[in-house]
Amino acid sequence: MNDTLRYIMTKIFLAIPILIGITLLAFGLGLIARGDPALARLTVDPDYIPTEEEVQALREEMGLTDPIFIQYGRWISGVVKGDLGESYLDDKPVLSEMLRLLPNTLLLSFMSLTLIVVLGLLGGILLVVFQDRLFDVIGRILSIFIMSVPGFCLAYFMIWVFAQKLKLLPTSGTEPMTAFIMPCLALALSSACLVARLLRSSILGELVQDYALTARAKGLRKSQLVFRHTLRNALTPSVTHIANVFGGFLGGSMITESIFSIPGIGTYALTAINNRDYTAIQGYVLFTGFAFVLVCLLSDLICSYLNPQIRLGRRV
Amino acid sequence: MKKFLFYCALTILIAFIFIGIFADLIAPMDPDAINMANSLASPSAEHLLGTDHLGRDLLSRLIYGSRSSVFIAFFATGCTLLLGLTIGLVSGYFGGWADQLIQGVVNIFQGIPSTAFVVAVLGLLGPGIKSLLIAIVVSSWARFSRVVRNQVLGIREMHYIEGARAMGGSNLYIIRRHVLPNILLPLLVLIATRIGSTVLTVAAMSFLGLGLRAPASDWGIMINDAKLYFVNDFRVLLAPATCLTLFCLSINLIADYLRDHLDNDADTARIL
Amino acid sequence: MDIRVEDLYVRFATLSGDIEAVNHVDLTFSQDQITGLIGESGSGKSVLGLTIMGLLQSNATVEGRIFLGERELISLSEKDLCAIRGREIALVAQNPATSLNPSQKVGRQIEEVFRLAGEGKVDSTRRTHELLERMGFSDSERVMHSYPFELSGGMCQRILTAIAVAAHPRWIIADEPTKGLDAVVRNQVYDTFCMVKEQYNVSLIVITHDLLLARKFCDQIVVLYSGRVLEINTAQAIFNNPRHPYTQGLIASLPHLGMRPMPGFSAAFTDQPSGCVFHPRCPYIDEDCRKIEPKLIPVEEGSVRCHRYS
Repeated sequence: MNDTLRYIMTKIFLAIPILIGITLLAFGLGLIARGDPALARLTVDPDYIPTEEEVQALREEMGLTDPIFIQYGRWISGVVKGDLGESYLDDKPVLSEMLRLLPNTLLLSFMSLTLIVVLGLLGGILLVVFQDRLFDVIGRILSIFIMSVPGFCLAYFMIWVFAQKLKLLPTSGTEPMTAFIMPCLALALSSACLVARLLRSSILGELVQDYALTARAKGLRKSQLVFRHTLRNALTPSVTHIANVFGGFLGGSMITESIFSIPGIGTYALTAINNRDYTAIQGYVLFTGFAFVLVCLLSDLICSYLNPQIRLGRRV
Repeated sequence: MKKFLFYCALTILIAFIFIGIFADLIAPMDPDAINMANSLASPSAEHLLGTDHLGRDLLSRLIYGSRSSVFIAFFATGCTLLLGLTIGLVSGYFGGWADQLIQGVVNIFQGIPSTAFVVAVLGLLGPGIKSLLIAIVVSSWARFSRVVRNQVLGIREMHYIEGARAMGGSNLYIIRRHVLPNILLPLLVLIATRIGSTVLTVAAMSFLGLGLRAPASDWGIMINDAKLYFVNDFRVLLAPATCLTLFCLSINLIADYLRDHLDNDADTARIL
Repeated sequence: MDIRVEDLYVRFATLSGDIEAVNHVDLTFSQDQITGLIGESGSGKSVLGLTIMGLLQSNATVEGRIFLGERELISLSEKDLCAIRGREIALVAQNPATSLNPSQKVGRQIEEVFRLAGEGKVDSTRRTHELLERMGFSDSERVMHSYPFELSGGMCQRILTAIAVAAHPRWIIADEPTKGLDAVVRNQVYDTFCMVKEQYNVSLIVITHDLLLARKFCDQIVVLYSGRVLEINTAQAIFNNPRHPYTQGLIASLPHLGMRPMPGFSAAFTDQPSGCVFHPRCPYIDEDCRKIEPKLIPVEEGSVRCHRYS
């Protein structure tokens, strides 16, 4: 138990420099791209040409002449207090704006996650159980095909079939809840197929391990063997992959959200980019980075639960 | 069966590359020639796949589209490979503080999901082909170098490396003769999947209006153009979507075959 | 119940061609004897053991017949085989360090055998404790709650043996039980097997290339080479009076008998010599050896596959 605790603490501790690195990255990206905000602010009115002194004065007033690490310090102390700055576009605070849009993204992400987990695990296990039979062959071909269809093509195809032809589902918006079905499928389907294939190959990899032989020699049937022994060991790569995908979802899926007109983090970022709203982009990078790192941390902890060798301090 | 699929996929991929290179010769019409009188025309002898909403020949646009997609995908993957390979080799082969430092940076770059990263870089640099390339390289070198590093770490411990060193082989010689050939096959899988995902990223960014800009012929832009018209005429969407899917499918099949091949070698070794 | 192997032939389909791992083997393992299968790596001895239990991978083709008493095992369905595995024939797999599930506590892995035999949870736990103590673990409670990688190779070996004897099988096939263990632990393994033999009244097939273990522990010895039986005899006769040139070579290579290595290497599976498989390495090679494959010829109490005895 002590080892487990130590492992968790180490993992959390190791995540801290990464998070700090991400703030540096976000700050740096903003720094490179923003140009000269003072000049930008003074030239809002196209008829007015500011003098060099005026610009310089405003630069000093805005703190732009300070050394970079002081600027970073000022920015980061704001970030810690939950102040990601105000959008250039409408002067709304970036953080509260993102938090307002977060629920839609969260809902979509979690629905997609559920779909990926259920379809991926079920598919992977079934493919193993029916290995080399018709179901397996068809399933593998079908899954590699679905995997290859880009999400936005799938989205339009579904809109065409389910909304235009069959008139079953609404094409856009967040109301009613059925509006989330298509975006969720467009996001999750290819990842689910990938997870199923990944899980299949890792279970098959476990089935030829020595310990599987011992288990089979006890008289376990193949399905029992898969569920009681190999599944747990085979899950690690799939968990890592799902975490990667899910972490990406939390950052908002711009394409899906824009196709289905769902107001979420993705559409927020897209608007910010189209308007060159650097504070908002900075906030967006910071937010997605943090969400991603935390999800990955969680997946590391899940993997260490699944595989005691990791958490008890032995190399796998 | 697997082999057959692999060769099919390889043929498709090579066909795409050739079509891309010789787009000027193959394309029956100018992809940008607008003819509003003949917009959204059905397939005919003159326009084999019909025309889009501006009366441009769909087939020619697809052909030129494969040029931009294939070119960007290969070029971006090449750049990523070069960067990732160099950094990964240095990190894995020499180890020590260089490794620690590089891994720290890699961890940070891997801490941001790649799509978000690409979009952010594009947003900050502004759309366009150059920023697209930069965005793709910046967002994907880290993963590449991580894989290379782990492979190299495994190989570095092998006895034959020790032997080569004992015989007085220089670092460069050992890397070229012993390390590189041994990480080539796993790397090939990664390169294949990378090309596939790069094509997707390019298409997605163009679709969002952040990559290539209209009126360039690109599958992503074609899909973006089609989104207003596909309700009446699904053809304008289906054409670029099919190309994109076919390309990804061939890449996936190739990667799958390569991966199986790797595993099978290991399996045979296990039986004997 | 004897295990009788008749004309057994096992082939693996691999990328580098078909591999004939077991080549028309006829053998009887009699239940009151401990039989040792000896041979170099790649002689087909492990494959033979796994074939008896029907545990080969799906790329294997098996022909011939294997009888456990009156039942023929090869034609049995997977479901019937599952009822035989563990309960009638059990396996002690090779490589103790990797043959236990790394993510499951040892106790649960032993309990599983009792649970499969239909016992309740409490009973299974209690019997696991008893079993572990009988296997020489003084702190069975701690061992039960350990993961395999927290135990030493010798301990894992005993756990594997415990799993094998748990359901009181008639037969145990031990695959290379001493492989990779040092001398002290090898002796422990030997003691454990002696104890198992006495207390559980099981018959044993020991697959090994550890000739000394075979001599100490086995009643009858079968010498395998390139998937063929070259010689069968009592352990004593094999060591005191080896008949086949290959057996003679093996015995001569023992450390305390001068450690004379045998010339040459085992033939590649994909490219087997004609005539007698051993002829490229045989010191007594004759014209017949190159062309005609010798039959297994009874000589006194054993039998040998060599033209010199026909």
